[in-house]
Amino acid sequence: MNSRKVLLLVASPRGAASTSKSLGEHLLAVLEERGMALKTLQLYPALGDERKMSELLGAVDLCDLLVLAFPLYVDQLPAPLIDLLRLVAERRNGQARTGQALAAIVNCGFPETAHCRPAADIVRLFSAQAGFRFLGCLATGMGGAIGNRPLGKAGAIVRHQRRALDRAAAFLCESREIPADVLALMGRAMMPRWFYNFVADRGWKKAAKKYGTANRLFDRHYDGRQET
Amino acid sequence: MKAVFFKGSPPAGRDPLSNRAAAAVSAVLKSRGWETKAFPLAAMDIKACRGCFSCWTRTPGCCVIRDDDQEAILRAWSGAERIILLTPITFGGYAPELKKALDRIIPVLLPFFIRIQGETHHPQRYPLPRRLLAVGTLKQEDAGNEGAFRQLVGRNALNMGDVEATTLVFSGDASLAEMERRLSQEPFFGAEAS
Ligand SMILES: Cc1cc2nc3c(=O)[nH]c(=O)nc-3n(C[C@H](O)[C@H](O)[C@H](O)COP(=O)(O)O)c2cc1C
Repeated sequence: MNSRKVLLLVASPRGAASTSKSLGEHLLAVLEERGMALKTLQLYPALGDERKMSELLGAVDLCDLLVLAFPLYVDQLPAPLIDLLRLVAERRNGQARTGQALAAIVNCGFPETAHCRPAADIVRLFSAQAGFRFLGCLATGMGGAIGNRPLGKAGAIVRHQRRALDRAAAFLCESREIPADVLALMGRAMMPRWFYNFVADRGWKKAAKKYGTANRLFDRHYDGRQET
Repeated sequence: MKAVFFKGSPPAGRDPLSNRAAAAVSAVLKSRGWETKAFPLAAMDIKACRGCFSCWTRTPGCCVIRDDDQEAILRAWSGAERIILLTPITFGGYAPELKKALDRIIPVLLPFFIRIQGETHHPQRYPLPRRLLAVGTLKQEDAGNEGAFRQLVGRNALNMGDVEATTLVFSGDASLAEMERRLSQEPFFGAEAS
């Protein structure tokens, strides 16, 4: 029995409907089978809510393994997550609990996992500064293909990601670094890139049709060149 | 010619190095005759992006959050040929003061995919020959943080349509004069007004 506590922090504004949550919860389910005690918290509902934020900070202090699950925003972490990490680092300044570890799960909308590299650097540098042992950042592109489905219901396209998370769990529950081949498996394409891009492009057009904006997708509202 | 200056320093007084860098950038922009819209982001009300993509589908080009200060930034971006991002380097990336504005910048992109340098990216809604300057500050020299920051700026430049990007990092107790001298050597600002 492994009674270590794991905190999954989902840092997507899409919350329960996010790909971040689907990926994070899959990992958590495997960690639970391995006897870890779980807690999941959402970052966004805690923004501007003192009680929830202090609960969240308390849970970060108490956990043995912190798992950050977030979407890639403009090549890095979403702003509220950076804000939180800065706060955590400031609070711990020199007096972090020893033995705490951190892993991250990031997904991005472009098909190439390589877009996530700066985000992986950022969580690694945060870990070093805030006194967490960094166990790795599991990154995948094509996040849009998962949507808000639980990973178990997303079919064969996510078989690599499911296997990577299953394998990663075995290392995380022993507080060991996720090996490079597991990280690479997580980043494997879910489908051919041309197909993902084709479906995504069609998705934007379909959504616009639904909103009656199909002929306005290229609208330019602002003309900053004329303004002083 | 127009420039937009994202001043991502923390609230005044909290980070004198970053504030000095901001003053140096402003001075060089002024001396080279750039018409600049500067945004002191720490003092601005900019809400978190909701990740809803309405700005690409339901209200193309506009964010559905209307009760904050972001729209002025979108307007300025649409006409700017120079983009300056200034930030204390935070875990190798941008501080939340800067990042909160960048998370809400995606209405200036189109939803569709294009290929740039073999990777997928989005086309610009307001195509202009832009250039990007990122100025990061570090309390102490730190190769790891600086390297990560430079990589990140490179990726942002690709996402902005493969714009030419310059990254400068000031650390330690760099003086205002030193920063101005360093900045004014950059082709980014154009020639000195005669
Ligand atoms: C403001 C914003 C910025 C984004 N920036 C990027 C980006 O730089 N690269 C990328 O591949 N995807 C980007 N995306 C797409 C998201 O990473 C993608 O939709 C992801 O699957 C969302 O995950 P979630 O459901 O966990 O929030 C961005 C999305 C938003 C809303």
